[in-house]
Amino acid sequence: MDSDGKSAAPDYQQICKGKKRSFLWRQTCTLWKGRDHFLLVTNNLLVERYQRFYFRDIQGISVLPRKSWPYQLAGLLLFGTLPMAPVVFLFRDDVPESARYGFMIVAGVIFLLFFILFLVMLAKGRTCLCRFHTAVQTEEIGAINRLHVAEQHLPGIRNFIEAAQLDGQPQNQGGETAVP
Amino acid sequence: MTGTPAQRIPCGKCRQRLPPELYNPQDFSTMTACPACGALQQVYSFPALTRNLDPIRTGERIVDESEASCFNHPGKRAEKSCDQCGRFICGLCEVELEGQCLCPDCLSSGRTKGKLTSLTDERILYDNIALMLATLPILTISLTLFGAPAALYVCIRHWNTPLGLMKSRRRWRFVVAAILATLQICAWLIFFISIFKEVTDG
Repeated sequence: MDSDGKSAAPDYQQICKGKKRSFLWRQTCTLWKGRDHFLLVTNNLLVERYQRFYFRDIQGISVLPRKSWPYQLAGLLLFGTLPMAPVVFLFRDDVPESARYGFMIVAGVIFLLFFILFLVMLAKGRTCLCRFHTAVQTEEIGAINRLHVAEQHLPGIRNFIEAAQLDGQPQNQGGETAVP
Repeated sequence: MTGTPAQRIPCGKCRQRLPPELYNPQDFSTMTACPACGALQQVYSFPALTRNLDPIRTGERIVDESEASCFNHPGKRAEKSCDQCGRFICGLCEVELEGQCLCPDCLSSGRTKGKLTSLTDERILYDNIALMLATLPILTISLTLFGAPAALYVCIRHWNTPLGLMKSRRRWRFVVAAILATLQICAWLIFFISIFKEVTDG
């Protein structure tokens, strides 16, 4: 605490950002690196929650690739093409031309929306479940929810933890977060 | 590293403790399978997994009456003084935080008053609440009659309330919410005045 009794806001460096599933909507998670701990910030629009993981306390990290990702992709394609199903009935003689074109436009727009979502999800890559293990807790790190994010940032995260636990002091204070 | 079962990391799927030989793969593309459920995963361990925990400090008893005693435990020897209030405290009461030695009372008051940012575990985002109160009722129009004053109240009442812990969070949402709420209140005032005039005129 400083002279006026208020603690100065600690300096943090953002490591990565991701989403975490919740009951109503997806929560935004960001992982920050502090002087001697990681700070996981979970934001659900109304409340920001903070969880601290001190370098000296982290016993392990596990990364579990989710199996649901290919099914999510397939589901998006399926829901995109479902509105196209009645198209076979449109070529009957008793269907007016305007209805035919109207239906094709609506179905096309729906398909396009789902296809864009499909491409976005494909580009973001496979999802995973990353957890920090300490002696008393196992916590999901929503900020690392893609395999390529884990691949990019885990070496740096491991370096901070190992350096703090082996030397008793964290290395690269205020330095780069990603260490090759 | 072998480790007791308690010193092993659980599987991400079935929670069975994984054998240490599966830890720390050479490269990221190598996935190891859990022997119990077969789930492919990567597990990294750190020295803290096998480290012995520090012994719990309980505070030493006073043997000589001339020794200073703990403020909370008169029977125990004072080892340090609180950096905030100066009270003598024993090893049991001592809490180290942000490089300071604090007594439980100062720690508790610092937490409740929000003075210790390293103990903050939650913050309400009043700026988002104000913005929602100012924007969402627009969809129904009639609810802006209640939403706009509420948004304005939140803006004024919580302007100085600390928002997120990160410095990157600014107060622009309060400004936008206040402007929108003021416009909506003005619109309602004009509406009511016009109705009032219509009634009084004819």
